[in-house]
Amino acid sequence: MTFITTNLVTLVALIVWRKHPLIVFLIWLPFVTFDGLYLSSSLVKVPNGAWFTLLLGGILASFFSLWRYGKEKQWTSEAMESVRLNDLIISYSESATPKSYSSVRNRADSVANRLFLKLPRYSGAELSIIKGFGIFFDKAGTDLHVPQVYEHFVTKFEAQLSAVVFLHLRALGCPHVTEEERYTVAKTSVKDVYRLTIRYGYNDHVVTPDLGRLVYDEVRKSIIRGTTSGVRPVDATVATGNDTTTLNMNGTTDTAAAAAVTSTPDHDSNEQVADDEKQHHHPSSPTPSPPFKSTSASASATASSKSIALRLKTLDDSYESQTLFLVGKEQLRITHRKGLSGMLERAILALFLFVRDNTRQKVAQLDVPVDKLVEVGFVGLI
Amino acid sequence: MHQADENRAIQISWLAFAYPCLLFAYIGQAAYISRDPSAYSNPFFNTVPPHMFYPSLVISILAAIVASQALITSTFQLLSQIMHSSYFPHVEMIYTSSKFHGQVYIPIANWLMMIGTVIVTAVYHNVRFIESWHLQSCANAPGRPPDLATPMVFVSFS
Repeated sequence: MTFITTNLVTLVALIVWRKHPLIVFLIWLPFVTFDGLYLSSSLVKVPNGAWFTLLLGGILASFFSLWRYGKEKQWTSEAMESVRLNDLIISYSESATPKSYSSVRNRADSVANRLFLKLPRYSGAELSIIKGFGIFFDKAGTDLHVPQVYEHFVTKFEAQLSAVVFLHLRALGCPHVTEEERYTVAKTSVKDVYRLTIRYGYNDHVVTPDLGRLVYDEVRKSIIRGTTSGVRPVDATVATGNDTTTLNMNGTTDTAAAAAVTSTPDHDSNEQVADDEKQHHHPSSPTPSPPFKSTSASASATASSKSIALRLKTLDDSYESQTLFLVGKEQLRITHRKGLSGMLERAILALFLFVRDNTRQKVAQLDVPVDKLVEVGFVGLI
Repeated sequence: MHQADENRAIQISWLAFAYPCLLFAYIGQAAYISRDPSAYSNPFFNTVPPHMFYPSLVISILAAIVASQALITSTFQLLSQIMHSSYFPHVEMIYTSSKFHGQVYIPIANWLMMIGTVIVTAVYHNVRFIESWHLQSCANAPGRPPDLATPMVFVSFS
């Protein structure tokens, strides 16, 4: 025991403290002489029973290395497949769609912005929109890439839920995370796609049957918080967490629209809303430029408040229709390898996969409404 | 309690209390053995003062309980650390205290240890076998006489 700790301290001194090797050696030498003396004298016990300890240690050490080795292989495979959202989906307005992107034929509704799978990596097909609020569990939480389950869902079904949240749950080693620090919402390059990170302590219970409501509320609050620079105070919307929220917001949007139509000259801001409103009501006209491209500051503010209202509307409509939880289930397949070492590698990986399959968290243990839970399986190669 | 206070408390109690006790015990045993070499077979019990066998037996049992608890706790702790550094699959882990953040309980590890130790003690009645598990011996550790303490470690799980 002391033999091991002596050598560990030596390593720390050399690598972490960066002491001179000669000094370390001179201090190490007397200690290791004694330790070596005691250790070698107790080697006589190996045939009597110490072999058991050594065997146990050996088994544990090889299991730990096996797990680490398999995990690294898995990470490499996942890193190769992970994709950023703006490499996956591209949004074009009705008129500006390039020829290479194929639109859905015979669509009745005319939407301002259409979503396509981005060429050349993907097919370039248009995504049809499914009504619903989709919560995709984001295991990695890199803030850069989309969850694998989302990539597979979007590319295979060529469909997009009308509002999407990538939900990353991050467990922290403390009992509680305060409300203010718990949620982080970010917009993404695609409208109506959000990232939500929930940090939680070990005494906080996040995954409850009420998770859908929670996610909806947090995303909603953060969209509203974006209005601080807007012209119209979005009141009555802060009262989230009860069933009247959606009604409140719809009320607000309606009043806004009414105000826009009956714009009075003494309210400058309302006039601008009216302009914006007009543009929106004519689908043939070019789509309004995104807020950040606007030249005048007040116009930008109006446009952003307008876009917030639109975002909220989409979010509310989606949440009203249905909430889906989408969980990925990644199966791993071992690729073919040549030679004797290849066979050994395959055997090790097979053992890793066996342990992985038996210890992974089952989707059935996820405490969300069962009828809203979708598990998307896919196969990765290692 | 702050982290710094905890560190300070451990430093003081170890340097001012535990370490001197350890030195006294070892030095006393060594002195006794130098006079009466036959005492080496079981230094702790052979060197206790006359008529003090039963009190020292109680102390040694208590020490064994403490030692076994320390062993179990440190196993959970180590396991949680290797789980966090991805050397072990994630298994259920329960945080037992909201005051002390690092305290964990891992049910499956507890069960495995219990089953393992029960099997081993059932198969090998010979205590010397278990004693010799410790490659580098704790045999002379005061308060942990090998003949008694080691099986106690395994008994006190239940």
